[in-house]
Amino acid sequence: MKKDATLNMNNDNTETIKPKTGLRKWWAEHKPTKRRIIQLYAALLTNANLKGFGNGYIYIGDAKFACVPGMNCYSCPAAAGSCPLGALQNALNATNTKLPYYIFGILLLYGFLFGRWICGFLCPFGLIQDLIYKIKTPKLKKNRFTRIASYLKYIILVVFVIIIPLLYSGKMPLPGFCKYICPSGTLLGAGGLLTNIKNENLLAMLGPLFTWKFLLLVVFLVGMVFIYRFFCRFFCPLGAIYGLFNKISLLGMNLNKSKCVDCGLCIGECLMDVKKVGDHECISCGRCVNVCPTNAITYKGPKILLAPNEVGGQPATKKPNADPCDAPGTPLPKKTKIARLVVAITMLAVLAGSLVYYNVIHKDPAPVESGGEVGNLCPDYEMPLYFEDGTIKPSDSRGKITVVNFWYIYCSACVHELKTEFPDLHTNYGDDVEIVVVHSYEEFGEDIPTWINKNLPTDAGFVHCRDGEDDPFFKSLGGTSAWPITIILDEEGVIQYKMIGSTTYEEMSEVINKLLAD
Amino acid sequence: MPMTQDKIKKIHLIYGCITALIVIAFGVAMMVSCLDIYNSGPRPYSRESIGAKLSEMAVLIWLSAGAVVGGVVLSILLPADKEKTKAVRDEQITMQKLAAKAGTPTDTEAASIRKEKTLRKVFPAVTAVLFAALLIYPGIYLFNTNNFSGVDPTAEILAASLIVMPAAVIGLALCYLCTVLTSASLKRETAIYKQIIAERKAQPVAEEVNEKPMPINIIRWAVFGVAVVFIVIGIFNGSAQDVLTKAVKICTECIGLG
Repeated sequence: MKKDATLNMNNDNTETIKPKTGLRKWWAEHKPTKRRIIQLYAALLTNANLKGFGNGYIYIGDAKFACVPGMNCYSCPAAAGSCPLGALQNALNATNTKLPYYIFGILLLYGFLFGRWICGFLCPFGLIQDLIYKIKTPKLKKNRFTRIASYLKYIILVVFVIIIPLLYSGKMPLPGFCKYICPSGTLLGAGGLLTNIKNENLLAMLGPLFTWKFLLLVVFLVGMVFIYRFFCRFFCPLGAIYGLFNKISLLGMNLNKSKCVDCGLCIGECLMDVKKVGDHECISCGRCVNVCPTNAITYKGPKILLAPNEVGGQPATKKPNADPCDAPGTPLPKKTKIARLVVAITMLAVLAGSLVYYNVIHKDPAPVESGGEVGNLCPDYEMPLYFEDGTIKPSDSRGKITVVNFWYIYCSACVHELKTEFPDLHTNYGDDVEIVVVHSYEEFGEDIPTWINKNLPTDAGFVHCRDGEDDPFFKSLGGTSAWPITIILDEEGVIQYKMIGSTTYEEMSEVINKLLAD
Repeated sequence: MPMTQDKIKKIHLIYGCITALIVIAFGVAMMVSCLDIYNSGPRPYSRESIGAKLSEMAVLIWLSAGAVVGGVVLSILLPADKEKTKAVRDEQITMQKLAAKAGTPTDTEAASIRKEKTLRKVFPAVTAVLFAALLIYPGIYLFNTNNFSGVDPTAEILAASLIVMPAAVIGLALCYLCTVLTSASLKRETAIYKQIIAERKAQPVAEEVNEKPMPINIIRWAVFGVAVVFIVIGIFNGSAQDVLTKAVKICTECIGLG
């Protein structure tokens, strides 16, 4: 019986098939398919730290050692793991110290296992695009031009993901794609943090870079309404990487050439810029499975996860709007049913366990409340000096105005302001102002004094030191995980200015001038 | 009287166009508001400034939300039949199948076919040469590390983008032109074979399938082996630890907070 019809018994025991109408027909066409359920599951598992939206902090536990397969910014408050694209750029940026074996291995592993099946099933940003595309407007269909334009993502991969971080390796932390293009970072990362009222101080950081990225995000979101997977098809470097593995991946689409009659319905039905089923543009959504008249197209992979549309050699019957993850018209063997049940229960247990771990068991280290605000005496932490023996404390510079800046070498905003905003303080205020520059306890395997001598101004009067283990001084000022922080202390050591995020010479000099006048 | 599918599709189209205009207007309004806030002075973004702009856009926000919900209601009340799938055949495969059917062409026909095949070798070759030529200057610029000193990375990358991206766009345009010309050549060659078949009602020739299967399993497991080795090396050389450390310290500019 057809999916879009219901069976009714008449008084004379004959059957009438009534076509489904209205809401029932709409539900039959739009109810979540298995693929949609898997997408929702993956989005929730990837963002299991739901309490992050409430408390405004990102998850900073050990699970971020693992990369999630899809594009999910690790600055999203709910992100449970690392973004592979961000990790790749950071790793390429650090090739002066070590080769990025780990992230290369992770990408090879995901490519081998899934290929671009990740894009179709596991990527939260892909899910967002699928949902936005459902908005009822005329759509731009694929054509030869879009096929050519789909190669733009390879150019973005080479230039922004590979070349730019390598060019700045050892000089300046610069994940080119994350910083200038990534809409996931703007929407999930920045958006997730900024919409929380506890992160109101982050709004003061926003400037030209945020404006550029926000404008780009709006363009992407509007494009997604009219063009299927607008970002995935033309701009996503992660999809470009995974697409290279589509032929060899364990999961994906399989075309049986002996059954294929080259009718072209599969390519016509597909919304991506494929030339053949399963090529580097294929995201394994399965639309082609429903229209193939000879059942030549199946899913690769174990039957317990996604049944092919042919079981036991029996051809499946075609149903409109059928879920391609099913074998319509043919019953599954009992063993397969049991195995599927076991897998489903395991997956639910994993999700439930993750939600409990991230939201109940794992405790975020809250910032120390005491002494961190404007008007309070600055907390007095002892910090070992670089370039000299001994330590320094904020109280050592009582009697002088002290500017204290917290940074670390892979923070591009930190390095940029130390190069451009702080040297003028020493030039214009000389010995009236002490500039203490505090590096994070984590040194990333770099020789920090050598790095400083090579990349930061050496005549800017900076006193370089290192925070204690776990960055207690930084955290005492309310720093959770966003860098840099700058504070200005008056001659009594009271905090008169605090900026979480980049500061400017003009802002600092305004405060210093006021303090000097007093 | 129930509505015909043509009428229903027309209503859906009109509704879709109205929604499209609303979506575009919403997008433009968001961009203009963002630029307004940015140009309003130093440290321009604040809860108040953002709230004020959102209030100004309230009508458009409600209109957009209404348009989305309305689209769902329309689909329920006036469901349109799904469009029939249009077949998209690969021109190369179609031509090859016809070539196999057509049999041996005459000398004149063979000359025309040879000419088209030659053109289909020349187009990609010329495109590749022009593409490579386009990349020379951007390549020299990118590999000159003096252009990337780190003093002002945003300006340096903008300068690099202004050199690389136009070359990339022209390159893609050349590729598009190549596919257009190749497609036209395939259509001409296909037409020759169709004519041969129509004139001579040639008997189909059995297709010889000489496809050598790709050693996929060897490649697969080699990739898997390399992946495992790399992950293990990465754990020992510290690159795994770096992934964790950089994921828990947000570089604010890296998510656009700057």
